[in-house]
Amino acid sequence: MSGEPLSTGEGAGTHLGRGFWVAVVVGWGVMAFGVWNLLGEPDWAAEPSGFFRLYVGSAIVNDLVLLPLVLAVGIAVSRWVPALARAPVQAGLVVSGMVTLYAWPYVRGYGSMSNPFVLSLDYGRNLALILGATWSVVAVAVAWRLVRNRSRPQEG
Amino acid sequence: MRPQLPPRLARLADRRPDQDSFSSRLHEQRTAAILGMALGVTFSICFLTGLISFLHQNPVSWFTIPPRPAGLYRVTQGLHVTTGIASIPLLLAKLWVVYPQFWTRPAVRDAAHLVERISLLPLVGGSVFLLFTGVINIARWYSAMPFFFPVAHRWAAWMTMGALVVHVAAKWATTRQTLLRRGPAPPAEAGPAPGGLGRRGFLATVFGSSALLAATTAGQTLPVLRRLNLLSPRDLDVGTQGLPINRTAAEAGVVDLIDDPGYRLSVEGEVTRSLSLTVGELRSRELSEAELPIACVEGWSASARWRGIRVRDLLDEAGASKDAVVRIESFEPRGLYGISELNRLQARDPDTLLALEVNGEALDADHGAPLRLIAPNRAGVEQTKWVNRLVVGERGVPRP
Repeated sequence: MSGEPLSTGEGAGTHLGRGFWVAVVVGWGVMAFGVWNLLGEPDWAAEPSGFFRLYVGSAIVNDLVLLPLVLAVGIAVSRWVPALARAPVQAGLVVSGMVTLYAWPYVRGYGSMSNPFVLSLDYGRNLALILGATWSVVAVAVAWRLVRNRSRPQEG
Repeated sequence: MRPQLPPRLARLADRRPDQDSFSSRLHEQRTAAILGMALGVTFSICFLTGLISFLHQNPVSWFTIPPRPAGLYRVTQGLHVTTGIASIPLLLAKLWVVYPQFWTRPAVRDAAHLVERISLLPLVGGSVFLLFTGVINIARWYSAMPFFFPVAHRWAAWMTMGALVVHVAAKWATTRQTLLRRGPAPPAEAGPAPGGLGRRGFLATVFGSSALLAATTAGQTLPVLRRLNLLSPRDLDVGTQGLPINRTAAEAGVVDLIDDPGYRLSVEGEVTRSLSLTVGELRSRELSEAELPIACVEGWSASARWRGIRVRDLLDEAGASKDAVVRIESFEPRGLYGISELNRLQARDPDTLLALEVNGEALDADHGAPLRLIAPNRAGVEQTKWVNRLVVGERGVPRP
């Protein structure tokens, strides 16, 4: 049996009482404080249209681009990777994806180089090192599962 | 009461995914609750340390930042950046786990559900925005940001935290129940896709990714992790005189001004006797030493041994009041960081120096020659370089 589903189905949400509405007033108040202050900043610093485009764009890109992509990879893995190797491969993909996403601007050198003392590491090599180590661990885990699987029927 | 759609659109709408379209058994309450709790902790740490950093750079009258402990800002800001980086896997995993909710049907059940869902836009957008801008700022990818980073990051944090208040209130009861109940066993490695990661394996992988990112970046502030420093923007050995530099003399446009024979340090404002001192006169004074870090808002920090004149001594000599604030001014012609402020406690601290030397050598132009401010518990951008003027009784200038 798998865990509990995310929503308790019909009627979920109706249990939200007065406490929730107090939090809505407070939370939207804090949000309004942020928006108000942003709009009070000098235009060159706040650049409101660029700000809100990136802010709303972050949610849209996440929900409609990044996540569907991840789901597609997930489906591919469950379809084509043998059950024995599936968990280690999934773990390897999660780690690789997270680290690569973070490291990408460094590896590609998107940063300003007006100062010779920053961004001085060899990020491409370092990312390769981390990915290499990650997939070595995955390979060991798969091999261990193989061995365990072979030895089991003999015991029985 | 469904709106009338053209037939083709209606067919498309009927075929959109719903909660049951997602086969992984990891889209479930307990996984979501655990990741949610973890994010609540990391985002709170980032918000509080961010506020502290804001108060350092925009002093307020109702709170005087203490100069002790000397390395406090190094800790709070290192924590801010490292915690933010470690939050990336937590956030992405959380958003994946709850993604079926995005397609939930009916899309809106009642007023509370509607408000709860609307509040998710500022929450999700803001969370991704904060981590994205934070990372690309330390990676110096300024061209991806049309705005001034500190301003945008600060107010986006308030918007996100506001949305988080609503979200926590909406999920509090469910999360509590889920975590307290001895829930159903973790999804086993069985079901539609046998052999895949179960809940424990998935969470271990996600938290492991966070730890990995933290470990390979925190070496820019923690010397013990130096050898693992693979993905941070800073190598602490790289810089003039073995110390990192955020803004070089060339970037600040001061190269031609440093050896100006007409240079004088002036102490003026609310004093009984103004001072005007040449570099030679500064050097011939009694010099003090202090071991203090440069602690950058970008999260790196490095300690050094500084030698110079106590600000306190200069103030006493000029006859300044013992509780005066002091404005420190630089002769750098460009940029936002040519002026800073010493509050009354910082101005009297014995380790608050106008440094002439670092690690036994005369200060390099990149470190602020001929004279720079270095004081305990202070943000790097407030350690003004190329100093030539102290104005007693004047505040700094507000910064965007």
